[in-house]
Amino acid sequence: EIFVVDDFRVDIEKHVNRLYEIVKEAYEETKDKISFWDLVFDPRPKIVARTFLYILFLANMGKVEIIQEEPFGEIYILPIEALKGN
Amino acid sequence: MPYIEKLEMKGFKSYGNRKVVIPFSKGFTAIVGANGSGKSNVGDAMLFVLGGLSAKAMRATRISDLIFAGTKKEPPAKYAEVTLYFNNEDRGFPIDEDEVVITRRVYLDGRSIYKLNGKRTSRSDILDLLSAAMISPEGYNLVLQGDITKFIKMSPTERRLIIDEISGIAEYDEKKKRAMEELKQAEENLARVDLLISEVKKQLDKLEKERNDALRYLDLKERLEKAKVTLLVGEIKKLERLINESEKKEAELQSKESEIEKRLSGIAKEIVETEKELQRVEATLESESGEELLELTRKMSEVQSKIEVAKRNIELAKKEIEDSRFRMAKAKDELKKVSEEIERSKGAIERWKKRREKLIAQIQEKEKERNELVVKLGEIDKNFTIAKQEFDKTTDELENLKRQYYQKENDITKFNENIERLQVRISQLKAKKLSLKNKIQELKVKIEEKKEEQSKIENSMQRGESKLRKLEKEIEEKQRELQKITAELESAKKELIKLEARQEAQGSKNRAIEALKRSGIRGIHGALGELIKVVDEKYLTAVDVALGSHFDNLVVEDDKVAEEAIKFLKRNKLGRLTFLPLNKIKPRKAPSVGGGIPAIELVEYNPRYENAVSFALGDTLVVEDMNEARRIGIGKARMVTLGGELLERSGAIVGGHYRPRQRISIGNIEEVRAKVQALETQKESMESILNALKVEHRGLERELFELRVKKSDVSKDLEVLQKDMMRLLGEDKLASEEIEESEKLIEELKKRIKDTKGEMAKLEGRIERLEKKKEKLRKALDNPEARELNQKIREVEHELTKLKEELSKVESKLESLDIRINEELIPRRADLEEEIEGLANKINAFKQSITKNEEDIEVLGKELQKLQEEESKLKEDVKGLRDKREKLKTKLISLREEKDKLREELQKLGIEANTLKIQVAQYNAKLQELNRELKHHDVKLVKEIPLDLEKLRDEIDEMEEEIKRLEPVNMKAIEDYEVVETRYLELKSKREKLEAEKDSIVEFIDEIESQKKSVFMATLNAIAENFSKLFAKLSPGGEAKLKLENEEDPFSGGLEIEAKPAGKEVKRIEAMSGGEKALTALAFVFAIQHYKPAPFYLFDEIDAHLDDANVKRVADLIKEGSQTSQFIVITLRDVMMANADKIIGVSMREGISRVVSLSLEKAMEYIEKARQKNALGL
Repeated sequence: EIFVVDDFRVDIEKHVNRLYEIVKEAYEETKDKISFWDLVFDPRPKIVARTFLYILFLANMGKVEIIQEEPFGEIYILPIEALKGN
Repeated sequence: MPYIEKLEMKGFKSYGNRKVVIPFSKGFTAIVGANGSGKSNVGDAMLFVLGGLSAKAMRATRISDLIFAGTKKEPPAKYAEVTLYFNNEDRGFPIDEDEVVITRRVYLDGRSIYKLNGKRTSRSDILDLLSAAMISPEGYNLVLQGDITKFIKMSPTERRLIIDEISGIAEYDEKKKRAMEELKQAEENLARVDLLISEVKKQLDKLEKERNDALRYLDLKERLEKAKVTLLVGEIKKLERLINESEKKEAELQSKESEIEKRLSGIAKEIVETEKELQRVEATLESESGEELLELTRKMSEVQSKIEVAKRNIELAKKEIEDSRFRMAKAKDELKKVSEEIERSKGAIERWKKRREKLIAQIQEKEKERNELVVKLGEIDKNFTIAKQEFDKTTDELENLKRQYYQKENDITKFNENIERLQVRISQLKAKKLSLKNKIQELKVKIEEKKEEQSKIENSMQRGESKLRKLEKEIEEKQRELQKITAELESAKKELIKLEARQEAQGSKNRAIEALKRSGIRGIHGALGELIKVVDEKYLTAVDVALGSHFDNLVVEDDKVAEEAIKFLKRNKLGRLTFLPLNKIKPRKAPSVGGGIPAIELVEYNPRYENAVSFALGDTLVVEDMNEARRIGIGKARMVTLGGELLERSGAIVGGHYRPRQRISIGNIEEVRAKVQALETQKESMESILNALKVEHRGLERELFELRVKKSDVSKDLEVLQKDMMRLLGEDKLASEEIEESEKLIEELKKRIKDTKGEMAKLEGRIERLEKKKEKLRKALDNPEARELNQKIREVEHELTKLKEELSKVESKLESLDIRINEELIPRRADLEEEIEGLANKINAFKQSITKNEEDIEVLGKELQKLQEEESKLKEDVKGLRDKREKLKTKLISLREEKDKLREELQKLGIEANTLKIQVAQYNAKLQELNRELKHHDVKLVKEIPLDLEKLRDEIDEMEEEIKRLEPVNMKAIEDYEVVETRYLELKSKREKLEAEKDSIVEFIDEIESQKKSVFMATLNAIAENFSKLFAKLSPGGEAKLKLENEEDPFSGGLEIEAKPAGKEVKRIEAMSGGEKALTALAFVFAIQHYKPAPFYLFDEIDAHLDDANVKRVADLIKEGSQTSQFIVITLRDVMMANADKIIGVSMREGISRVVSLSLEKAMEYIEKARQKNALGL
């Protein structure tokens, strides 16, 4: 069986880590929770979806906290380290 | 259409103790998150609340496993509860509320409770409600993780059931069920009526038979009377007609007889004439074909042999001429040589004579000289003179002897030459003899052969002649035999005709016996009367009377046969018979009184029937008349007179006019018929034997004739050969004689040589002696004084001797030449001349002979031709005569045949006339009887008399039998039948009504079936079309279709999927890759959705095995489908997510799943705004 292995799958860890770095940098800058939209650099739905998925991965890995007040409401991200630090 | 607005979970699986709300909306919602974060638990929760019973479907061991099990930080839940909020604004659920809320809670003990809009309810109510909105926990719209291939794996029938459900054919099944119940009821009613009908029918059938019998009986009675009268009248008419006809026929027969007799006398005359003619022809044929032809052939062969001899003579003469010519040439040659030699010799003689003259002259001269010298010497010594004289004498003598010696030498040479010549001749002759001997040998062999052939032919002729004589004798014998057989046959035929006529006159036989004989029962021998034969015609009446009724007693093998026969008679109503079983029947004792002849001695029969015959006739005596009976004593024995009076032992006497039944045979007709047949066969075979013999005879005659001709040929050949032989033997003898003569001559010559040689030896001795004497003399002459003279004399004498020697040589030569000429050459020449003349004469003679022979041949040839012509003419004559003979013979045969036929016919006619007379008498008696009987009947009944009275009689018999069979007759049946028939018809019409009812139900069921099928097919066709289109869309270049296993009856089979992904051969669906299977399954799901969309679809990781391009195609389809239905898709693929309207993100923190929701529509709007802001800001 031949799988078409796209770069997303292969580099998922790399991408997730890079996103984490970005999240951390953003937090270092503002010392505040980060809006999801600030992490979306490309408005194509595919990129939005991908970014959303990486955030979920990070949350699952216990690296970030996702905060949402109401359904479909604003999504904020906080690195767990910052929480621990506080 | 209703759709899910939100899902609430509490204590469900990984979602912890707190209430978690997942918002949904119309359109496409994706649920995403890392593996193990609890994505699929969302699907499980939906299944759970929709009433799913299978824990396994929700990926749990027990249903209670769905309850949150707790973590390190949180305690486990007491129960799990899921609530699903449906939007019901369009009233998809049959409830008058805008929102339908379904809750299910499960406790640790596995107990479930359900609530509908906050009120407790039962699972089945929930399921009913859901199914009204086309939702079910097992529905095809719910595709769980790894479950996408279920559409592939399910059986074709399961797949078809999906289509059944979608097409909504269940209502037809319900209708059908009700109709079937009605049908069953109708069939039961029908069965009840059938039972009644069959009862009544039985009754009716019985009555019908009885009624028919009664009607038939009445009818038969009437018809019988009519038929009987008709028969009587018909028989009377027939008899009258028969009498009339017979009389007419009699007259006809008489005229025919006289006609035939006339014709017969004509034929007899013709036969006599033809035979005379035949004899004449045969005589001519005999003389012509035999002697004349033979004589002719002999002459011809004689002439031919003469010609042969003449030809051979010519040949011989030619050979002789050639031979003579050769010899003449040789003789002429020799003659020429001899003549030349003579000439030459004569020349030589001339020359030698001259030489002699010269020598003589010289000698004379020398003698003179010597004489002078001698004279001188003589003067010296006288003695010397004497000696000298002596010496001279001796010298002369010596010379003479020497000449003689030379002569002899010459002679020997001549003799030897002669011998040689003779020897050559002998060897020539011997060679000739050898060749002659060979020829003679050959000839002898040929002669032997011919002689052998001749003797063989003679032997064959002898054999042929003796065979011919034997054949002639045999033919004569066979002809005598044939005549005998013909005579016998004639008499047998006469007898047969008589017997047949009598049999004819006897009329009908016992019907019962005839029927039994035909029945095929084994062991029936026949009526006693048929089995016996009266020895003499004069006892016929007596035996007939004595037999009485025993005549018809049937003789059978044993009592079992009798029993079987009796059964047969009963069965066929053929009356009664008496049977005489051979194993049981006892003979009667012969009466012990004097006089009369026992009746049993007057009949002939097969000894097997002894007892049966004795039973009938054993106690009866035949007597001359009543007087004789009285003498013996009436009452002492059963007696019958020749006149037919019967005197019973009881003393009863029966008598009066007796018309003999003439049924007993005097001879057995079958025997006579067999005899006639046997004789005919014998006659035929005899005739064919005779024919064969005649053919053989003719063949032998021809063979003999050919042999005679051959014999004369052979003897002619032999004659010629023997003549040749004689000639050759003559030649051989001549050669032998010549050889003998030549050998004698050689002997003689050899003797002469020997004699001559002896004489020569004598001469030599004398010469020697003389030489010595001469030497002595010469010495004596030696005188010193005279020496000189002597020397001279010696010299002279020496010369003289030399000369004289030469002279003597010359003379001898001359003499020999002379002898050669006179004694040899001249006679030889004369011989040769004579021979040549002789040869010339011979040649002439032979030439004449040739001419003569040729003339002879010509004459003979003409003669032969004449003879041949004569022969062919003769042969033609013979052939003509033979043809004529054959024609005459054929004519004779046909005449004789005609004669025989006419005679036979005449005989037959005579018998026929007799028979006719008897018949007419019988007819008249019968006519009177019938007329008497007719008076008892009503003649008016007769309307028409049928032609076939026999048939009428049979009909009467049949009718009587039938009447007997019909009795007793139930006359009341005629009325009873009508009553029962009415009842029967009523029941019948009732049954028809019921039947019509049943038919209409069956028709209704058929209609339902066809409607069901058409609805199903419409659905299936639409879905199948969608499927093919969608598959092509999902797998560009690929092809797929749905196919019924049974096109005729879709419900008896399942639904197959046939798929061919792009660029691949048609694949069995099991052999496809996971991705291909998923695409096929999705095409199927969407095909249904396009036809009849479900309210919502839940897909869990259907895209796991697809590449991005395929995921994109699927996602597009989902997007398109989400216009009509709600789609909830659990996925990990960004391509899929990107197509969603809303994304629910699931993540897990410390064992608890958490939910974040993102509206991509809103996100897009937001991002757009932010970009615009940024752009302005920049």
